[in-house]
Amino acid sequence: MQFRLKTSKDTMEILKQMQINTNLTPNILARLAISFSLLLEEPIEKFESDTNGLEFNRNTLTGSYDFAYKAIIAQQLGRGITDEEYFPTLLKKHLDRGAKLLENEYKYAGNYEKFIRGLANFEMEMIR
Amino acid sequence: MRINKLIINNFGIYYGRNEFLFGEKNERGNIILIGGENGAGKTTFLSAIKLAIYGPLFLGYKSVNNKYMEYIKDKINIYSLAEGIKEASIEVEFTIRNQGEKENYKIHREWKLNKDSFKEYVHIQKNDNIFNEKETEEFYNFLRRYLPPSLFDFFFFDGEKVQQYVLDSRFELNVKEAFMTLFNLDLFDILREDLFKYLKQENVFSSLTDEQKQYTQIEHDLRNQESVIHRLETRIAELKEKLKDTQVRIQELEREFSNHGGMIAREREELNNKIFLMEQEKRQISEKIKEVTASLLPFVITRKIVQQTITQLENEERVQKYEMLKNELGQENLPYLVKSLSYKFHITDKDGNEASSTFINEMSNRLLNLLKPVGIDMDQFRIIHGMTREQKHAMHELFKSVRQFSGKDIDHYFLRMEHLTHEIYNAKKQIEHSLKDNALKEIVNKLNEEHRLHEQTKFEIESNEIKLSEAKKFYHELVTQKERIAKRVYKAQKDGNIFELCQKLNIVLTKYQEIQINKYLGTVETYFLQMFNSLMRKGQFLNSFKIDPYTFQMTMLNHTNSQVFKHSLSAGETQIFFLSLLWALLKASKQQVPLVLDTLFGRLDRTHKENLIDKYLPIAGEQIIILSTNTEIDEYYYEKIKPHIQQEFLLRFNRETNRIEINQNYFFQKVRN
Repeated sequence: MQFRLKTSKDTMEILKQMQINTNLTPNILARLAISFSLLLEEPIEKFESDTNGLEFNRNTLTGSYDFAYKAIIAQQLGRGITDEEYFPTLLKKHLDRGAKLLENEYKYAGNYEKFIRGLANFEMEMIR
Repeated sequence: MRINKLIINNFGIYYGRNEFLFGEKNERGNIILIGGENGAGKTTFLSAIKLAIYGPLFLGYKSVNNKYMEYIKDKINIYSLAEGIKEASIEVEFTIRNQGEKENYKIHREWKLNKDSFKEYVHIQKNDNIFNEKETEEFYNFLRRYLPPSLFDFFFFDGEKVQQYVLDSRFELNVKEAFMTLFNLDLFDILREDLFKYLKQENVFSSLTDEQKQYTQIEHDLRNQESVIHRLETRIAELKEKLKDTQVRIQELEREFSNHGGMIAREREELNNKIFLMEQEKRQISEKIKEVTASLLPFVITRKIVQQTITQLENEERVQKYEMLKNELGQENLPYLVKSLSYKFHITDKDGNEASSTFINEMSNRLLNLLKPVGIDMDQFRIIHGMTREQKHAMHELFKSVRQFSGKDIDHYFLRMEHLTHEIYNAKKQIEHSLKDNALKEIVNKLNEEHRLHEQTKFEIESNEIKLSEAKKFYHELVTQKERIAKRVYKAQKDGNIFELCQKLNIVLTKYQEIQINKYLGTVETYFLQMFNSLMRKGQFLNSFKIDPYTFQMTMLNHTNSQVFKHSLSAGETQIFFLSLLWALLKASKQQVPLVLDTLFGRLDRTHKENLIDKYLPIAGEQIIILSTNTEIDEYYYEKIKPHIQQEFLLRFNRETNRIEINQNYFFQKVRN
């Protein structure tokens, strides 16, 4: 069972910048990024990224919701996955793919309040 | 002591040589009247007398040092310095009656500039005998005993300051000190000290037993402890006064502040409190938002996928159930069932042909179709999750939370935050606004300063009180220790030993001192009553006046025997009170200390003035020096005092020559022919 995950360099920079903007910790931002990536249709398995970024501990990243993340990733993929596939492989792919989406979402919102209120009232068609 | 002559040379405001001759006591009177406008040199005249007599002792130093010389340097007359004259001097002649013998003293103090520092040269002579260094030293010791500067100061009466002096918490102590010196009762304290010193001397000390040594040591420690306790008590009393003062100032400032339209502290306090609570709520909301963002929002965003997951989980369950049933029914069970019913039923088709096996096939197909999960393409269906019951349950719970979640809640949080921010801003503005104008800022700064001082003083009092209670505790421990050792010492006591003698002597001295204090106090009380009642108007006399032999607290009872408190006396009455006390002390002790009266008539009405002139001044002492302006002792009173005047001077500062002109006649005296 794996317990560590390294993001890409880009993801690290996005998360750090967003931490400055929103005062949210990187692990919370990472969860949101994963969620955004899950909304995309393109198959995730082809997505590739480097590992020169932040290192996350599994417990910090998914915490008590680990099983739920695994479930929705498998659900979106449409097949059963092993634990090794889920962590770190797929989770990392989603995280790195979603970071850019999250960044766009924030840029669109313009500030912390609008950003969070946007997420709370999120509807599918809002995905840009 | 009688002052006979004073020469001031280039000292203070006195430029050049200035001579005052008071002459021997004559039949004429006992008053030296010195008149002069403000700034004509009356105060310098007094300082000069004191400085000439006491030298460094005047400032509390035992010998000439830098501080003393700094003081002298400042006092050298500026005009003489400008002329390049680099020396100044003071000379005083006085008479002391020592054990019935008259002794004439002359003290000459001279300061000369050598290179760049002043040096003091002193000549003292007694009845034409010039003192050598040793005799000079002895003379100073004698002076310290016989007429210490503190006593001299005690008999310097300043009408402007007398009320403050009498009401001061140290007043009783000052009276006690003067009393003990005047009646030579401090001698016993000195004697007791000497006994101690004697016992502590190496050769005596070593001949004592251990217990006796211990005892002596404890006695010594007790003395020290007593003075520590006394010092602390005085300090605490001072600090408490200070605390009261700051409290009063704070109240005044608060009033001033609210009068200026500022908010008083209580309102500010309330606002600050409100701000604090709102800030707290903001923090809580912000935390709440963060918490939701971390836990629920990722699944709110992926709500659809979560929903699909739940559906998938349900389908997986149904498919698993179906597969189970299918397995249960299996290939064997149905044919067996049909067979077991064949003795009762015949299974034939429409045409009447036996059709058991066809029926079984048909039946099992229909049954399975019936049981098949609806809406699931069994060929396509794949198990994705295969979760345990607990995981399924947790997933359902999560879905429930997501479903119940409403973005509106977050909107409300942010709106509440915005509202709070606005409210906080308003409250801060309110406070700020109340501090807008500079006058208010000034007051607030002062207030803050006073509050700081207040806290600091409180803290200091507390720490001193702790010290005090520790000191007292230690003192009591010493006392019990002393008693314990005393018992042992007396048990092992041999007659005639030094230690016991000293102890006995000590007890006798203390006893004797108490008796003497009581005796002399009685005399002082009697004289005081006499004088005070003769000076006051009728109907204001006192029935009794008592001084406590330990604390020197004074108790006065009026003619209806109710108590009169010193703080209830008017300014004029306080002067009469203190003058009567001075006289009573002088008369009872038969000591001769020059009585100096400055601004004597400042606060007195006509009756009191006339009473003073008729009944007080003529008998107040052998020599009285009165310093007065022409408005205070005017022509009318001058005529009344005149019969008692021994010598009079009028000081005038001449702006042309920068010199003081000393006239032998007071303001209104026509030049004698």
